[in-house]
Amino acid sequence: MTSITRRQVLYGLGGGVAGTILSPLPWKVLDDVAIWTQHRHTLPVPRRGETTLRPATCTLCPGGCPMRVRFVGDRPIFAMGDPSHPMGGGACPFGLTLHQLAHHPLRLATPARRGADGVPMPLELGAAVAFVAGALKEAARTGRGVLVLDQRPGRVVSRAYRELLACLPRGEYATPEDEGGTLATLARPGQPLGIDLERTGTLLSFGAPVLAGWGRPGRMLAARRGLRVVQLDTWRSPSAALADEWLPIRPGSEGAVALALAHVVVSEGLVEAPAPEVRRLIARFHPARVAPSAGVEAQRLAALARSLVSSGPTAAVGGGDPGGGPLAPDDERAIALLDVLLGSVGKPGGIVARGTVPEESCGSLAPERQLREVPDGGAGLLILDAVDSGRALPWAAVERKLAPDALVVSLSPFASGLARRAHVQVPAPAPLEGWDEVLPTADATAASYWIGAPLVPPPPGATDPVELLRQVAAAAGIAASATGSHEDLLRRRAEAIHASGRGRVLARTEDGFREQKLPDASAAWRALRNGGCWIDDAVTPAHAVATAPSAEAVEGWLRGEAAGRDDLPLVAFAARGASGGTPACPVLTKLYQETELRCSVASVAVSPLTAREHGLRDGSRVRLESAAGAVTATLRCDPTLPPGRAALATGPDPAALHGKATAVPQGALALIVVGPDLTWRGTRVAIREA
Amino acid sequence: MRSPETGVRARYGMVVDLDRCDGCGVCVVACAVENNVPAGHERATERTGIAWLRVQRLEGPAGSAAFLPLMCQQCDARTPCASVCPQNAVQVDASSGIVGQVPARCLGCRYCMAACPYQARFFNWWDPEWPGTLVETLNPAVSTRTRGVVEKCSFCSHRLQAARARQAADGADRSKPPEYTPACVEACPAGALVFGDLEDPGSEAARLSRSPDCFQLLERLGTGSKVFYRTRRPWLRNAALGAPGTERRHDA
Amino acid sequence: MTRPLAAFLAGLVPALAFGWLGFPRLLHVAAEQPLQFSHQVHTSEATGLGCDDCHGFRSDGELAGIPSAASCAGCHAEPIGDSTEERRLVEEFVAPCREIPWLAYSRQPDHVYFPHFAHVTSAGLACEDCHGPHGASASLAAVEIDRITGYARGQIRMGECEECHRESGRGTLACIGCHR
Repeated sequence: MTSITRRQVLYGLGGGVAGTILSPLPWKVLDDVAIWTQHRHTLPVPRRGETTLRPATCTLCPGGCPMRVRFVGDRPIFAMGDPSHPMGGGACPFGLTLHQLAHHPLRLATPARRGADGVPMPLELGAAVAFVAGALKEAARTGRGVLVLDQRPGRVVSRAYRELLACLPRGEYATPEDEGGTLATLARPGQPLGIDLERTGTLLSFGAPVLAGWGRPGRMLAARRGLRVVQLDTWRSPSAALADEWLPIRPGSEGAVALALAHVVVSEGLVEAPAPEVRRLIARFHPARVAPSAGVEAQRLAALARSLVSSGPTAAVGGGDPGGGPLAPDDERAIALLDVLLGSVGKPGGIVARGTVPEESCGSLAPERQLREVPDGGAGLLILDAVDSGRALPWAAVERKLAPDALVVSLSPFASGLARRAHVQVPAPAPLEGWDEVLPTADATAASYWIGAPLVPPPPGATDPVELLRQVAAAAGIAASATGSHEDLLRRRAEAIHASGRGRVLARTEDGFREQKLPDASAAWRALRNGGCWIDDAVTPAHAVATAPSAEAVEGWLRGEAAGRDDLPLVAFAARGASGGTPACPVLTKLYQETELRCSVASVAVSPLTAREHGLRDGSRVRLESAAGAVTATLRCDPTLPPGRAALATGPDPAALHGKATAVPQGALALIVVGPDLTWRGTRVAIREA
Repeated sequence: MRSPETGVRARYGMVVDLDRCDGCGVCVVACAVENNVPAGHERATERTGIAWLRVQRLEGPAGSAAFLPLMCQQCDARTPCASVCPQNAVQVDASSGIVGQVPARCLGCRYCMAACPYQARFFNWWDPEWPGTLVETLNPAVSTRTRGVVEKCSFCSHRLQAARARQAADGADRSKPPEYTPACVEACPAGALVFGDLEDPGSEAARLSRSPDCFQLLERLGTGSKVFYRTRRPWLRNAALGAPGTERRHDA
Repeated sequence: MTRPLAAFLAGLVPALAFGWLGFPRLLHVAAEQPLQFSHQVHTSEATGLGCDDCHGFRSDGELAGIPSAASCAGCHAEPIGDSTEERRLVEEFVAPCREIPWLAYSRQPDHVYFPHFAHVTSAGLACEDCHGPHGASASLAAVEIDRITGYARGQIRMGECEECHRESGRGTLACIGCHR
């Protein structure tokens, strides 16, 4: 056998190379690697399915915009407003993420108890019920109060709370201020008021975001063309940018400006002369006297006042801002007084009374109270309802109503906002998973009602609030008068609406919404259950007498702001839905971070003049300090912001946008100082370089 | 690459009514939700984030402002991004006028981003992430993109595909370009966006685009933009066009 | 034969053999379907099912491709034959309402849009024209998956789609016509 030479090996290798090249091996490997580089196997591939469009309702705020949700198979993938609904046509970016909320990283799918270290531990429903029932009994035993905070009163859930509380020795049912503050000042119990926007000539807004998330959005969109909007705002809010006229007033001057406008229309004889004591009050508010503290020239105030009459009918509205909080009650009284003086109350185009939404009759209910009327320090147990108002409600405003070692239970499906203060969370179903109701908004002149039915099954750990109350009542040995599931309560309400004989029911049909002749109550329930709505736009005469603002407030307005202060008033703001209890979905970084359309809590704005006065530069890191806390933020020089104030958002929480929870609130919520009337518009901050 | 089509010719375009737009941002979110655009990375900024459709704020008189939705203008006369792509990942489709971006082919050189005069193209600087179970809300009609590729508004061409499929399923005349609605147009509560075939004399978009109130952005460049903006306010027209003597404010 | 030639052939032939025969076998992983299924049995005279009965079109024009366990449960809620595979179907999938994890023979990446309706109804293609005699098979073959790319062996690629579109003059050739 001859030995193999090196040359033969080389020939052999050459043959191997030739063979490899003539085979598909190298070409297929190259081709496959090219395909492999294109394909990222870690990217998710969404499941396919049949596409359907289903009606829904957004309940992230009282606006209750009717929505359409596109489903692929059983998964919702897109939500948008429904213009075909008689009360529809509106939507906001938060509503567009309605279907994503059930999947938010901060969503709670089971009851949880917060341990000593603040970390939530899962809890069985039975244990959670026992805990709450035990806390109820303990509160009853020690004579301490049980406080339920409901941010969306008037629902069947609200009634269930009130029934339970009526059985307790000290049960309190409270709601925070909503955007109807001015109307509430004028309204009598059982006779809610609304604004006849469709016929209003001038809408005068004292800081209310009337053009950017207020009332029923679909209504304002439709009414906008024929309306003149004058915005009195401390910053260049989105509504101020879109209004027909914006007067940049100083923070805290709302009441004085309202009375100054009243002064002009009365003294120039443009309106009917009021009672002598009212005349005496507003005589002190000559525009020239108010102008320095208002930050607006006297002639401009006078011209505005005259236009309120010449471009009437005029409705003046306060109500505050979702982030800036409510106006002080005295400010609302001043604005309400202006409305009365302008003759807007009870007239078309002004402030009119509407009907209420019928409810099932039942036994005794705990009375509805404003949160600020609840006595401080009395509650041993606080129950926070699941639903959000879309407005900021700082913990400081709630905490003062609680006894020192009070227990806090939250029904929110999210571990954010006030729910982070809860010792026990028993999450309700997330949006699209449970039952919801839409009641008339604060500005409504029509009584209306519709229901959002569940579209997606809730996780087993979510508990419907009505069901939870039933279990808690049973465990605590309280005989609840109203029985039945959430759906039963809604059905009985639909029957009560039918029985009232008022209004009309519009059912959803294939050709749109049609008024239906309803042979019986169950037909009414079916129509409402399947996406229909009830409307009663009968308007009743409104009689209102305005209460004069307190003497203390009046003196304060006339005194004006003390000069030479180094700190700045804080203008806190937020879009509706941005700083309530519902966390913002991550996709909202498109508005709050990846574009500059909306300001996030990361930046604080001052006017260029104010920045120079404090030795600060645009883009620098600054530290803001108030009596309540401190934050750092990036400074933004905003020429549209009048000098002498700092503007900072209260939300959305940027940590929530990235799926995390922060221990302490960010932005303006960390700085605000809540007064005894539960407002925080008087907060002042010191600003310096960080 | 030319695309000899079956004879169907359309030029889908959009008319944006700046007098109706109130800057609510619903269109921005609708686009991101429909097209599986991931949430911004923690470090993403206005320049490095991805928002196929953005709303710009233009300052007006006496503190007023107007809002201008800006997306890929779907240029079809001189398409700057198509001519510079080394990968042939950008193609103007003759049958619809849509400038298609194929992420699977893109190698991420970002030459197209430099070429686009409207700054309407965006780069995936980070791996996309959908925290928790948010993957369940993804739209199966649009592919997810990886880090390192460019993406932009496609006039929801996946909806055009579905409209063509429905045309076939309904037995409709396939030589007529189908009608469909992109997500932003569908979601706009103010009705500020109108979409349709600019070549179809019966479509509202075609009719509105011929109104004297309409203008195009950077018309002088001759890109052949198919997005028309419409306003009756002279100051807004000047601000949008950047006429000499008018200010166009940039935030930061 | 000269020695150099012999040496050359000694390298050439094994390389060719490996490249043409061994490599494809190495490159592909044969993945068995989770259940065996006989199209022949189900489309036989006795059962009388057609392609459309399980692989039909939905109202929006999209094909409901691989049927869900629910459609199998329509007949197989309880075992109706005596095969082990059917018993497994009922016990492991129908009873516990579990979807059967079928492996696709031609799953395209998610950026490809292929409308069956346009091809089947408008272009008049038969199922066999692209899917071969799959509908007459007595058993389901294993899916040979390329280890590098993750796609099935013999799967239709863009070149083949383009070729047919170009030659027939029908169908789109624009990127956005098929890619999303």
